[in-house]
Amino acid sequence: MQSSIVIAAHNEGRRLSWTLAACLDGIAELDYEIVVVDDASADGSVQAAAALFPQIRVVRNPVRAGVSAAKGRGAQEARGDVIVFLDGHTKPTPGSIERLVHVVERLGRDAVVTPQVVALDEADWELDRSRVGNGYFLDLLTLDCGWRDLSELRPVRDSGLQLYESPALIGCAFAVDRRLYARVRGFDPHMLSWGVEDLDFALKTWLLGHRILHDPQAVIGHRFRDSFDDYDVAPDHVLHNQIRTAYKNYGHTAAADWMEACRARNDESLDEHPEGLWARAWQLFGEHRGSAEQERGYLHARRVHDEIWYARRFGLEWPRLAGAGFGAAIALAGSPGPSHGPSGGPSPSPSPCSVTGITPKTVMLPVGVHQEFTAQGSNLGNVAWSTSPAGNPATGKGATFTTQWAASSSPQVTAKCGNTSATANVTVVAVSPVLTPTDNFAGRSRTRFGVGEVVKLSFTASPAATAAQLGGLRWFISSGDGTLTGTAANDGTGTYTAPATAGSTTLQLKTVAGPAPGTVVAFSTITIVAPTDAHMTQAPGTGIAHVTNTYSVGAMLSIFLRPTDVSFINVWFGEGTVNAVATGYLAGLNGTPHPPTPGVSVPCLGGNTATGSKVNGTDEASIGLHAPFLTAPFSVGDFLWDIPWNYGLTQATATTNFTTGPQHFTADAVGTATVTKKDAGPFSRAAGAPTTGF
Amino acid sequence: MTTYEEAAARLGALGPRPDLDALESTAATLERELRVGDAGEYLRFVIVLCDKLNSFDLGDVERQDRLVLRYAEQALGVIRPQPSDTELRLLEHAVAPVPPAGAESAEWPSTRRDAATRWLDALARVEAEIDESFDPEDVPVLNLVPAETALPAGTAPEVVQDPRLRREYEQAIAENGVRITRYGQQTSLRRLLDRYRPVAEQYVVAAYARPPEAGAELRDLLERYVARPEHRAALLAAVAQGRGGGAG
Repeated sequence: MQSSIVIAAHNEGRRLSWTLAACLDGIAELDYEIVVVDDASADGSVQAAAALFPQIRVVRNPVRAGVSAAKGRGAQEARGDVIVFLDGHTKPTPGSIERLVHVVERLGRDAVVTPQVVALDEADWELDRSRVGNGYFLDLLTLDCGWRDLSELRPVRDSGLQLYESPALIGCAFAVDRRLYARVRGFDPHMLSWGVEDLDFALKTWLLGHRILHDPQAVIGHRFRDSFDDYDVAPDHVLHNQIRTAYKNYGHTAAADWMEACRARNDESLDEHPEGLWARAWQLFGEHRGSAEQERGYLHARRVHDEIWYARRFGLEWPRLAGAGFGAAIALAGSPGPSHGPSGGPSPSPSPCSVTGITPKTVMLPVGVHQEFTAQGSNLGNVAWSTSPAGNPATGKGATFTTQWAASSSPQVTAKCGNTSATANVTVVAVSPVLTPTDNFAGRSRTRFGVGEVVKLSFTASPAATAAQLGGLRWFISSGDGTLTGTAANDGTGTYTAPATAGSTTLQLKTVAGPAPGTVVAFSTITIVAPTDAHMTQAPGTGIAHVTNTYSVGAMLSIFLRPTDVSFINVWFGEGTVNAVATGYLAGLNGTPHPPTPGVSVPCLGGNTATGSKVNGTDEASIGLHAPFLTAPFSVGDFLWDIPWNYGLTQATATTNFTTGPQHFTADAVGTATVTKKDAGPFSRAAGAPTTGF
Repeated sequence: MTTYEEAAARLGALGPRPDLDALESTAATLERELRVGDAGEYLRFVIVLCDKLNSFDLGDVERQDRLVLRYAEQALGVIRPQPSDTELRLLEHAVAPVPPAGAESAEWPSTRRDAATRWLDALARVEAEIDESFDPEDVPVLNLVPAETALPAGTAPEVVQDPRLRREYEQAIAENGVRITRYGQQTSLRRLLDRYRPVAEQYVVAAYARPPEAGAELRDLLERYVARPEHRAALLAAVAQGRGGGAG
C-alpha cells in the first residue's frame, strides 16, 4: 500500500468527522488507508466517524495512552509505505496529502516532510489564511517551540522541488517513510499524556542524519486552541516528557546542564504535589528511566550529529562547545519566554506569541463606543483576548481586538498568548444628555420646548469625565429642525434654538475623535411645540368699567399662551383682522372691522405651568364707555369679533394663526351689558349700575 | 438680483442633509450673488448658511467648521456697521473656540485680542442702545378705544365717521404702535444681552486664563468696553481664578 493516514484521536467530537471528510475529499489519486487510533475517547466521536466513513480502520486503546503512544500505535498498525500523521482536528486542502506522500517518495524516502499549516477558524471550519505557519523551531535549552517564517528557513533545492529545512515539526501534520520512522524509533511510547513527542521525534530525525523538509505547497488546516478544551494536560507530564527528550538526545554535559537549568525554572509547588513540579516530574522520569536509557543508547549509537551541531545549524545560543557549562545555561534561562513550556499549553498557533503590552494600556471611552486594542510583542497572530466584565464581543483572537461595553463599568482587557499576557484597564463612561432651557421655570417639561426656545446642551458622565477625555464630544441635529451654536469647541456643550414650527427633533451627542469618531454616545428626542391655545383672565388690580344708565362694559384682560409645560418667551403675539357679526340692539355695529396688528405684536414672558406664557401686553375689551353713549330703549343684541390670534418669532412676523380670541358683547332687554373674551368673563353690568372705571 | 428667499429656497432644495460638496458649491454662488445686493438679505443668508453648517453632521465636521468661520468672517467684514443682533449671531459663528491647552498657535495672542475686542465691542453697542429709563412693567395696550364714540376697543379707524376723531384715533394708534415697537425693541435688546453676554464672557475668561498672560491688555479692553466697574472686576477675578490664582 502506498500510504497510511494515521489519526490519533481523543474526544475530538465532530471535528474528527470533519477531518476525515476533508481527507477523503482530496485524495482520489492515492492508494491509501486511514487508521484512526481511538485513545479511549469518551465522547462517541470515533464511533460516529466510523459510521459515517466505514472505510476507515479503527484501533482502540481501552485506557488512554497519551498522544505519543497513540500515534505510535497508529504507526504500528499502518500498512502503507508512507505514513501521514494528522491530528483529528485538521483540514487537508485537496491534493495536499497526495503531495506530501509524493514528496516523500521523490526525496528517496529519506526526509520527513511537513506541510504549511494554516489556522482553522473554529466558527466555520475554514482556513484563516492570515495565520500561516511554515517552519517550526526548537529551542534546545527550554524545549520551547514555535513557528518560523519561510524567510527564516534554509532553502533546499532537491529533486526538482523547492523545499526548506525545518528545525522541528509539529505533530499535527507531517509525512514520513515507515522505514525512516522506525530508524528514528518513532514516537516514544513512554511519553506521558501530551506534548513534546513531536519535538523529540524531530530532534532524533536530525541527529540521526535525516532531514525535516518543509513543503509550502502542501497546505493543511489545523485547529489551534487557547486552552485544552477536550482533555486535561498535567504540567508534570509535560515536564516529564521534556526531561525524557533531553536525557535521550543530549550528551552527558549538555543533559546535566539542561537538568539543572530546568530544575531552576520549575521549582514551584503543585497543589497535588507539594514536593514541587520538578520533583514530581523527576519522579515520573525515574519510573520510566529504563526505557529512556534504552532509547538513549540506541540513539547515541547511531547518531551522526550531536546537539551542538544542531544548535549551530539552526542558530541556537545553547548548547555551545565552549562555555556550555551550567553558568551559561542559567544565563540563557531568561531568554524569551516559552510558548510551549512545561506548564503544558496547547500547540502554539502558527505565530509563536509573546505579548508584552497592550495599546492603549488605559483608556476612557463612552458606552457603546468601539475601542481597538493592539497587542504589543512579537508574533501576535494568535493572541487570545478576553474582557472582564464582558464586552461585546467578549473574546477575540489576533493582534488587534475591538470591543465595546453597554454599560458604565471598569473592565479589564487581557491579551494572552502562551505564557505571556498583558492587561489594559478601561473606564467605560455612561454619557447622558442634559438639556437645560434658558427659561427653566418650575415644573416645566424637559422634552418639550416652545418654538424659538433656547436650550443649553451639555452632558453628564458616570464616572465623571470631560469631553476631551472621551475624545471630544459634539452635538448635532440628526433629525428635525432648529439651529445649534457654540458647539465647535467639541466640549459637549452648545446652544439649541428651536425652530419657528412645531415638530420633533433629535439631538445627538457624537464623538469627534478617539477610537470611533462619529459614534452617538447620547441623544435626546424632543418635541417642539407651537402655541395651540390661550387663556385669558382679568388683569390683576383692574375693575369692570361702566357708565351708569348706559349700555356699557369694559374689562382689562391678560393673555396666556398654552400649552403650559413649555415656554413661549421668544414668541411674539398679535391679533388678526375680522369683521363683527352683530344683531339686535347692536346691529348697527355689524361688519365693524377689527384691524390686524402686524408690526405691533408684543413679546411674551416666560413660561408658567399654572397659567402659560403671558403675553406682555394688556387687552382692553370694552364697548360703550365713551359718549355718545348707547342708551334706552334697550333690547336684546349680540356682537362677535372672532379675532384670529397669531404668533411669530419676531415682532414683524407674528402672523401665524394658532387660535381665535372671540370677543363677545351681549345686551339684554333691560340694557345689561356683558362681555366675554376667550375664556375670560362673563363680565356684566346692568345699565343702572353706578359708573366705574378700570 | 438674487433675493434671500430665492437663495434660501436653493439651499433648501439640496435637502435637509445635503452633500457637503454640493452645499459648498451652491453656497459660494449664492454668497457672491447676494453680497452685491441688499445687505440685510445677505446677512440673513449667511446666518442661515452658517446655522446649517454648524447644526448638522454633513460628514466632514472640520471642513464644515472652516466654512462657517469663512462665511461668518466675510459677512462681518463686508457689512459694517451691522445691526447688533445680526452681528452677535455672526460673531458666535465667526469666533473660533478657545483652543485646547497646549494647542495654541503662534497667532493665538492676536487672535485672542481680536476676538475679545469684537465680543466686548458688540456687547457694548447693544448696551448703548438700551434705554435705562425704559420701564418693562409699563406694558403696552393691544387695543385702543376711539375717543368720543361708543365703539368697541380695537375698532378700525375707518369706522369713525368724524374726520377729526378718526385722525386723532389714527394718531393714537400710530403712537401706540411706536410704543409697542419700542417696547419690543428694548425687550429684545435685554434678551440679546441675556443670550450673548455669557457667551462672550465665557470666551474672554477662557481665553485670558490661557497663556500667555496678558493682564494689561485685558484690563485695557475692559476699561474700554465694559462700563460697570463691578462687572470688570468680576471678569478679572474669573480670569485670575481660571489661571489658578486669586482675584488680586
